Amino acid sequence: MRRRHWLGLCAWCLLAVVVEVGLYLSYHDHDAGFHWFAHFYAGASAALLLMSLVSWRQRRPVGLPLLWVVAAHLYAMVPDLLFVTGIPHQPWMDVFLGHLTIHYIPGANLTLFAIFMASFAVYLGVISRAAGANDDATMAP
Amino acid sequence: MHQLIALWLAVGAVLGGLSLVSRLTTDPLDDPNPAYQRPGFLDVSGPPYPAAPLGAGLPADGSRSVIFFTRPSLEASLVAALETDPGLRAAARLVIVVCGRPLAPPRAAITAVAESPACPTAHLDRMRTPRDGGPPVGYAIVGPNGLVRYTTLDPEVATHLSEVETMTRTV
Repeated sequence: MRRRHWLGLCAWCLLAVVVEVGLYLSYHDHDAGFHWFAHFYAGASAALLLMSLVSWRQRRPVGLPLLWVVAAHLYAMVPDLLFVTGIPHQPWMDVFLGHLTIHYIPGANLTLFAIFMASFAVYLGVISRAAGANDDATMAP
Repeated sequence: MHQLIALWLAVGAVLGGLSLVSRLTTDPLDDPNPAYQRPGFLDVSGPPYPAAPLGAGLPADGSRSVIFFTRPSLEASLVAALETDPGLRAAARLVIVVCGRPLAPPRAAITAVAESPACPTAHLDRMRTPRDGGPPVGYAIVGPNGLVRYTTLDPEVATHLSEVETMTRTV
């Protein structure tokens, strides 16, 4: 039973990785890395903070966490998808997790990486506490 | 708890490593600050400003112009790409400024201008300097009023002409 659970989980992990590789390749140039990482870190950070909130309220980790990250990354990328259809970037597109502005913050992708790592630490902290609370509840007489 | 810390460190190492590799594999013709390369929106460096005159009525009054800056070794591929792109030719007057000795002869419908390797027009049009410190490979989009609205370095511009057209049609 436990093995099937892990196989299912890995299938979702694999799907998430394949989608992210596809998104990276969709930029198809050597300057792709900069844009992919920027929007990935912005999307993933937003997803992790939202996942932390949901996990904290539900007192258990969210299901399929990598799909939350992929979904948030896709949301952050919407202006790039619109660009492909002939719609250039415009200031209001910052509603997509700061799509334009995040490129010009001090430290650029290094800052976004730090925010991502901090958000990831918050999420891991929340699910760790949730797991501890559940263990206490299970062990309580 | 230790497993979560190990996971945090592993994810950080993988993504940090990939970010570093990505940063190290840039092209010498790329912009030193990638935020200014192909930004996809107008007036990224501030208010519009007048385009440098190129002679012979260029940039043209009352119509859009795209001024491509390139190096002699890249001129032929750029000209070939432009000749097979009627959409962009219909959208704007196309000018190629070759920073250095041009190899390919000028073609009809695409004006070619030879300049010294210092490429003074590129400086006047406020083109950014690539990582290798040489003349820029990229383009400036000039609106019908003669004002520069968009500049970017793009070493692979010959494969991005649809992107150039998208930006050109917005000015």
